[in-house]
Amino acid sequence: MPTTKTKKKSPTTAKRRSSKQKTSAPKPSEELRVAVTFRRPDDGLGLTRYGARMTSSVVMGFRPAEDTVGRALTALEKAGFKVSARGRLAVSIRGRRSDFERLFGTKLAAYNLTADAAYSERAFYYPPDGAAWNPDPGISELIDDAYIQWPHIYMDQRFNGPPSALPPQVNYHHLRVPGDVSMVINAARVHREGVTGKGVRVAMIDSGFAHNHPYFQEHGFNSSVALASGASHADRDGNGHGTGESANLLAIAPDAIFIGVKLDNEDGQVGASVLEGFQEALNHSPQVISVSLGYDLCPTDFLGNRTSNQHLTSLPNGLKALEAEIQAAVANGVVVVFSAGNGHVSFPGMMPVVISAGGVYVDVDGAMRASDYASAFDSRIYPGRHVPDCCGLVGLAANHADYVMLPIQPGCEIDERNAQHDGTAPDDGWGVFSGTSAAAPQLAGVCALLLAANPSLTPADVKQVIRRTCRDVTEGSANPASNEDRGGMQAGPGADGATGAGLVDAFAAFRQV
Amino acid sequence: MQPSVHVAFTLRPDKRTPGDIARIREIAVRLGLEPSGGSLATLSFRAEPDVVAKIFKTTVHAVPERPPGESDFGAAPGFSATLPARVPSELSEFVETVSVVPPARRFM
Repeated sequence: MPTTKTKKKSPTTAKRRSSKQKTSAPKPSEELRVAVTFRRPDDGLGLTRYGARMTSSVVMGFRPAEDTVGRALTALEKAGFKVSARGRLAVSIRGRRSDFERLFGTKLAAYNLTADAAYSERAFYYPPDGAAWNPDPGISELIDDAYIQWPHIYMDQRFNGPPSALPPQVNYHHLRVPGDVSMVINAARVHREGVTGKGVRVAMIDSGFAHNHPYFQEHGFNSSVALASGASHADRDGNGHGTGESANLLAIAPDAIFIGVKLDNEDGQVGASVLEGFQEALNHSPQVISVSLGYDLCPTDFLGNRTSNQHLTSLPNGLKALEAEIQAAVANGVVVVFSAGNGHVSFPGMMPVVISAGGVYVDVDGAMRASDYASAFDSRIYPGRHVPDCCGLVGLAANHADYVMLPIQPGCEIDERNAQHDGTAPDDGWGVFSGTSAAAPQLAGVCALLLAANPSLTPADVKQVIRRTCRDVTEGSANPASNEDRGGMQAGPGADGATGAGLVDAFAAFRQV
Repeated sequence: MQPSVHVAFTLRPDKRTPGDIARIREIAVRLGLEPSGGSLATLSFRAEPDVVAKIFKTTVHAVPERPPGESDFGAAPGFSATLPARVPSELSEFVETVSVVPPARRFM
């Protein structure tokens, strides 16, 4: 019997589920698609056992006898399988994994497929290397073999292989992760003191986290992904935002326990709200939460376009629950960091309890100036509240804020869109972008370093230490779009409108805790 | 498939106990809402637009997907309410406010 006790070979290019990414592994379907082949009526040789090159003249000799096929299909249907298609040489059947394992005396394992190609499914069941293969004798005498069909690849996408762990070259001043960002924020000096954020739980809420990108794999970050309600595919990030911004955080706190909370749904359904993401994040006991999303609190039309630059004076009803949840989280000891916005009058970035991350641009010679891309304003909803508290690294408006080179899912929306101006290819898995979306995770990374050094710090302590140790930025002005119609707030000596306390200095802050 | 409108309850501070939260969820499900999250101060639900309009005496409108712009990477599609949602009498003992949560922008 050719099908008896054959050791099945596992897929060579599929990757087994990593224990580190338990929450992010896609779940294989329990329904298997199986191709059944038969033996040549003349001599009983199985179609898949034919050693020579198959030709059109030879192949028809393997056409099975009708009664053999009929008996085989009856046996398969009795065992729980359904015939889905029937050809002259093979039959396609579908059935449950448990029925397959029972009928063929084997144990299947889950395999994840790489994100580099557009597979019809991202995970599937298959016999692992050395798996037992002991088909029921009643079926093995009727068929040649039964093969679980691999997910197919949609050929509408160009296959370039995996992206490089190293970024492409571009011909303008920019910063790379982790080294440049870590150095300019002065986190590299903290790392040299042995403080890298180890053990600090940091959650980031965003579009998604494609941490199967070789950049993240090569650095070996401690990362997992949780799906907020309605989100799908924990290993994908069709937009690219969360993947890229998370590299900022991990550049500053490389040994933090990173929990990505994914909001987006790539299957055409409604993903999670920021509030649902925040609620999911709190389920993972974070010490720091970083969010680079928000709302623009100016009057808008139904498409969300501003109709006036006047700031709203009261919080819209739709955002009150998010406000309450953030307040409760901070009251429970969680440090919460939000982006100040890029000309947006940003909420929750304007909430007094959060750390509001604005932007400073550092030139190739180290000169600092306020980014004219980043928001700076006085909140009319929270009287006395100025945005930002302090700053991370943000690009300039004239250059589309193309400043930090970040890894993203190849071919994602940002990869394609930014390629129009950032000097990278639309499918290379790298993009250059850094508005205040980059600043928030950079500041969150600094918070993680401080909490690693002194876990007893409260959110108020962390904010105070970071603000009082910032580098003063005296040049430039912020984005005028955030300041009603009064022009961009100016930087100047001491705390100022454009940058708050200035550019965060991780080492100076670390020395005070 | 989950219903499409994001609804959130802000709980009264003295009604944030596990027992009260279970009771609120029970009432909400009876009203036709699907629980989708919850934490220290709030609970999230999903419902279809007509259900939201009927229960909370408001009207919701679809907010289309916002394409990427110069300052942000756009926003996912969602829903927003034109009037503040009203807390139904069955929930007023427990719930301070009801919100229809609009989609957020991904800042660049």
